[in-house]
Amino acid sequence: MILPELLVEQENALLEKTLRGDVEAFGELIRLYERPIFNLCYRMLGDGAEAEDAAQEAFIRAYSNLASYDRARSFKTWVFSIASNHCIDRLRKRRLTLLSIDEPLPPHPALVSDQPDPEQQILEAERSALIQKLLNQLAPDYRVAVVLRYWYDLSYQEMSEMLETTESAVKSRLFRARQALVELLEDSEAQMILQPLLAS
Amino acid sequence: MSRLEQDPMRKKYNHLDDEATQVDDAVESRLQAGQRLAAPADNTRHEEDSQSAVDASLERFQQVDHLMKTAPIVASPRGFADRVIGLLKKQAQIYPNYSEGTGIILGLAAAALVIIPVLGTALFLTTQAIVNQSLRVSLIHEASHVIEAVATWVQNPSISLPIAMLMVVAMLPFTALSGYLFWFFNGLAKAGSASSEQA
Repeated sequence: MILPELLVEQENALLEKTLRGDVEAFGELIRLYERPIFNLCYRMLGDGAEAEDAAQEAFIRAYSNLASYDRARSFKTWVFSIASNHCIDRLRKRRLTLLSIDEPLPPHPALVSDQPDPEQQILEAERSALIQKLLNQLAPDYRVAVVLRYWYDLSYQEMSEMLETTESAVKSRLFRARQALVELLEDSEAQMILQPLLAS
Repeated sequence: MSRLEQDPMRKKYNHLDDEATQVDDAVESRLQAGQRLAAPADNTRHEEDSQSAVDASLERFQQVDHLMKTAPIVASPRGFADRVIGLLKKQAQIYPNYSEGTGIILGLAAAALVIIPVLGTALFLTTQAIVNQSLRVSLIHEASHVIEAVATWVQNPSISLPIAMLMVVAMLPFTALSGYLFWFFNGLAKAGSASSEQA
């Protein structure tokens, strides 16, 4: 996860301002990272309102603990770490809910495409629902590994730092998560949804 | 161009896409090993079955990779950043930029500086007064002198300027301590009510 130099400089300047008490400067940092953080929370929690709440909490925690932030680390990785750990905590606290394949999750409103093709929109919504459904069936530790790897292309090392574990543990979790996803995709109904998506 | 491809976050990390889509090392080596083992004996039915099982497994892994790789990034709700900034500003008002730990230490130190000498002197004098009757009498006598001096100063303040200055100097640490304690407990009370509101 390499940030362009300009972005790093901008980020450092904003962090300096924030540490001097400028809340608006932190607001700029929120604007830079709100989308990936919200997406992470949404993919982890599978619910728009809860994801917003979790993303908000992650930014507030980041702001409150900014003095303890190690500047040698990437700010984005640090915020991701806060958000993913917070989501894992939420998932562990949440009561286990069983989801039926007959009742796919409705897509998040932000996923409603602005593309004019309605067929494409339906496919997009179906794919999103299927992905979320698959993710929801993974254990929190596996889910976070999948989200961080596929959506954010984080390296094993970055993921291990974020999740406070070893690289081999991350690899193992990712492998098991993918195995679980493969098994879930064996489901004939999932295949019925998946095939047209893959064909498109 | 798909919506995913248009996404700035995905664009930024496009160079990592290839890496992300690759089958994990462990899976890849496992699958390749399966293919290599199955390849030399294509004519037996058992090995054909193994080969097709490996192919199917590989295909499933590729499906998962494809599905996840092309998953859209969900946009944050409108006004999300503004709402968080609003909350942070509100929080900054509740906690008026002080460190709670440092505040407690400074407050206790200031209180100790004022209270310990006063209490120590009072304790010493009280103990002495209990065991020594003549000292008790002289203390009461001295106290009456002090009260008399204050009364005289109140009646005619202009002639007792040094006493007034002394009183002002003596008042300063008490005023500072009282102000600090008011500010600290006021902050704690606000923080407590805010957390109960959140709950």
